[in-house]
Formats: sequence, structure tokens, C-alpha cells
Amino acid sequence: MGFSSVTLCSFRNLKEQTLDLSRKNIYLVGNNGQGKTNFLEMIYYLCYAASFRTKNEKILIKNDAEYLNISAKFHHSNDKISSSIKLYQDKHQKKIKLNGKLVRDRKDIISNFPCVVFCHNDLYFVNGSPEKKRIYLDQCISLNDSIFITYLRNYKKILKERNMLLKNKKIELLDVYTHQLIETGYPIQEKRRELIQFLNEKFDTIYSEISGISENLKIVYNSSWKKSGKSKILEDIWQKKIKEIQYGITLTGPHRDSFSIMMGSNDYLNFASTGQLRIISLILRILQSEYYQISTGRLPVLLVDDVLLELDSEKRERMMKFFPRYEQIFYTFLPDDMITSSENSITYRVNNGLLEKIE
Amino acid sequence: MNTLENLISLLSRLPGVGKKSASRMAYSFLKGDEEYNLKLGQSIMELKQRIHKCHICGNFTENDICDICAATDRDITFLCVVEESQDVQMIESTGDFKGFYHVLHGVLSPLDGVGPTELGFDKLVDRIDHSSVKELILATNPTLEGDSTALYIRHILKDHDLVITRIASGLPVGGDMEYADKMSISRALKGRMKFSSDDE
Ligand SMILES: [Zn+2]
Repeated sequence: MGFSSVTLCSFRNLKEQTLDLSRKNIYLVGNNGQGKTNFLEMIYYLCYAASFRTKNEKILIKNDAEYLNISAKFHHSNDKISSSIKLYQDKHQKKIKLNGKLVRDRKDIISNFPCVVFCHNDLYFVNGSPEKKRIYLDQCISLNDSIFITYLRNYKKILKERNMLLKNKKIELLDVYTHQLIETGYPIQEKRRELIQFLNEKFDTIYSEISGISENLKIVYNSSWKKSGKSKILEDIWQKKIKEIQYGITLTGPHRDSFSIMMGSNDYLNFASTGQLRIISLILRILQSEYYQISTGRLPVLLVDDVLLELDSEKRERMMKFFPRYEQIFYTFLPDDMITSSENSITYRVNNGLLEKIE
Repeated sequence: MNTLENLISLLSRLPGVGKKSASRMAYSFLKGDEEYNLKLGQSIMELKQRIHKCHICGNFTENDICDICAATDRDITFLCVVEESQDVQMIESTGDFKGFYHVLHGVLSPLDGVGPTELGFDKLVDRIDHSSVKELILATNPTLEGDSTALYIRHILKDHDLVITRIASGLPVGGDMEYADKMSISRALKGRMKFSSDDE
């Protein structure tokens, strides 16, 4: 089922309103800049209490408002009853209430109504910085494994401490924090490798079907720890010790890792067109949804922001063949796009922040 | 700021006390028995004057040496390292441990400026060097900081003739696996022990 209704107040440019979302397919039609993407961002915010467009959540609050407020009802088809979620954010703090109960840690809502967003910036997962690529991997895993979020938090803390020791040349503690760096970092790498193995099972087949060319692509994890096994890694870090002290920073670990799309022994980035990279970024999102579905037995909510428009109609059709199953989908369209409405869909016209149902 | 407001603001600095409960406490002092207030005030004043750290183990005591360190019927071959004095109380309340303690009064936390010097590890090493300890039990909490602290102690004592053990962690006894958090289950699995009748 998915979200059945939402009431929103002071979220970006969106007008204060209550909306019926009680269909599997929700279409948002409008010109650019009217609030379609803001609406998707609002749904994403309900799912994760975070935005996919900004880290500065204060800018989500409407210009002249003191705070934003959203509440929604959600009904998962596996569950007997529906859940309610409320989000409040002012300039200082955020409050989340799940079924009337205050949620203290954001990680406790992440697995409740997960969504997968297909947006323009997904291209960075393919041709962006290693950091963007790590975000993709970590997001995929966090969706169905909340313990992974603890792994990431622990690693981040140890890394920060270790960097401080290196910077201040407090060498006496270095051994302990190197040990801890490996202990907390190793499971992160293991999980990421497992994910990549899963991705590779289908990635190349889907790519050649959609693009129409067979390139034999493979996703490869680039580890900054060149050795495998904890004791080998320890030895390796030990040898870099002088360099690390000199630079005052931890030079290797999961925070430096990345992945590449390889064609044989060459990085596909050097050969692919922007259109081909776009297809790859879409496949990464499709596989993210499937990974979630397979490991949890639940279906995600999908948010699709214009990305399919960049493909020609033939590729678009082939793409749809591989489109993941979903609990609910939110789809943005431009006014002249063809939409086939059905009894399974609701179409909203988005105009200057106001959503109006088109019957 | 008047006297009442001042008290509320002081009380609300206590751990676990918010503005609301601080104000409830303050009003209850105001309305309550004067003798009680006097006793409470006195106890608070005397606390720091009378109680200090044991010269040997660091546990809080009113004497130079705490009751545990002064005891003659305990096993001098076991030494248990804990984070806080409260941990000594907890372990003592089980009655299962008959060795001695060493209280660190903290854990390693470089970002907060707590390093080996602040925790007085040299004192611990010195103590081990001058005693007949055979097993050192590291009972710091199973947290990131507690683990780092345990690792560091192991590291500085690696050349000593000593068995070093780490307190086990995992599922609460009588608890349901269903209600345990994932990290505890994962840790319990990693720390699993052989379950056979070999040693019967
Ligand atoms: Zn003592």
C-alpha cells in the first residue's frame, strides 16, 4: 500500500495541505520549479528524517516560517495495521514521532518505510568522487541492516580519534587505535564486498539488455587496504606508520575505498557516453531496490524524479522491463508527458507549491 | 537570580535531572522539613571532605586504604580492572569475585583529552610489578572506549608474565534473544564458548 495520506506545513515552497495518497501510483505533473522535486524530498524526509538534496535541513523550512511539520499515515502490505509518522523541525532541533512515540535515534526509523530515490545526481555514483560512491554502497546496506549504521558510526569515531593522535604525534596509543580501526573497519568492507557480489550477479545482463551493447562489465571494489585478513592489514598499516605520522592522517581504510565499473582491465568511465553512464546509475538504483527486497522480504517506496526522460523511448521501454517491484511509486512528469492514469493511480498537478488532484 | 532560581539551576546540572524535576526538588525543599534540608546539605558538604580515592586501588573510601584492599581473606592472584567505583560495588554485590580491584576512573578518550597519563596506567603497572597477581581481568565496559582501554592495558603489559582475560559480554541472562539489540547478539556470537561435557 504505502503512504495513504500526508499533511504538510511549511516544507520548502509547498502549500499547507492534506493530500490523499491512497493509490499505488502517484503522478506529479508540472513545470520545473513548481515543487515536484520538493514533494519527493518531503516523502524521502518522512522515510529517513533526512534529505537527499541537502545536509543543511534548516533550509527545508519555508522562508518565512519558524518550523516545518509533516505527518503521514503509512500502511505496509505485509503489516496488519497502519503506522503514523510525524516530523517536526525548527532552526535548532528535529523531533520524530513514530506511532505517537518519540524516536531518539534516526536509525530506528530507517527500516520502517524505506524508499529508493531515482534522481539526477545519481550520476555521481558512477562518475563522482569516491565519497559519492561510498554513499551509494553504505545506503544500500544500511536500508536493511541497521547494525551497519552502528559499524559506520564506530568506525568514524575511531578514525577521528586516530587522526587526532597522528596529528598530535601521540604515538603511544597508535597501536590500540590501529587495532580498533581494523576491528571496526573490517566488517564494513566485508558488507560492501557482499553487496558488490550481489550487484554483479545481474548488473552486466541488465546493462547489455537496456543499452543493446555487450561490454562484459563488472563492478570492482577498490580497497585502500591492499592485503586481505586482519593481521596482513595490520602489517601493512604498520609499514605506512612513518608516512601517516608525517601527514598526520589515516591514509588507508574503508573511508578511502571506492568502486569502479570495469570493462576487462579498463575503467569503463573512459569509454562510456553520458547516456550510458545514466543507464548505469539507473541500474544501480534498480539493484538497490532489489537488494532491499531480497534481504527483507519487503518492497520499497520508489521516488522517480525525471531521470527516465533522458532516455530515448526504446531504452525507456527496455528499462521498464527491469523496473523493481514496489510498495508505492511517486513519479514526476512535465505537462506535455503522456501519462496513462488508471484506477491504481492518482495524478496531482503541481503549481507554485499547490497540489491539485486531476480527476 | 534569586535563591530559588539559583538552586534550580544548580540541581539541573546533576546527571539525569532536567529543569522540570530540578524545580520540583527545589520546591519540595522549600516546603519540607528544615532538619532534612540541613542533613542533606551537610552530607553533600562532607562527601568530598571525607571520601577520597584508596591509595592502592583507587576505589572511593573514607580510610587511607579501602576495605577490600585491607582485607586479608581475598585472593591476591586475581586483579580486576574496572572503569568506575560503581562497577566495584556491582561486582561485589554478586559475591562471585574474591580478588582485588583497580579503578581507572574513566576510559581512554583522546578526543576528550583522556590519555594514559590521565588514567594513571603507570600506577597499575607498578602495582602488578610489586604483587603476586597471576590473572588480570579487564572488566571495562563493552563499548568502543572500554575496548580501546582494555587493548591498551594488554599492550603495555605484553611482556609481563601474566594471564590477561577480558570480561565476557553478550546476551543478558534470562533475557529473550528477541529483545536484545543486534550488536549484543553479534558480540555474543563472536564470544561463544565451547559447550561440551569434556571437563566433567
Ligand atoms: Zn583499595
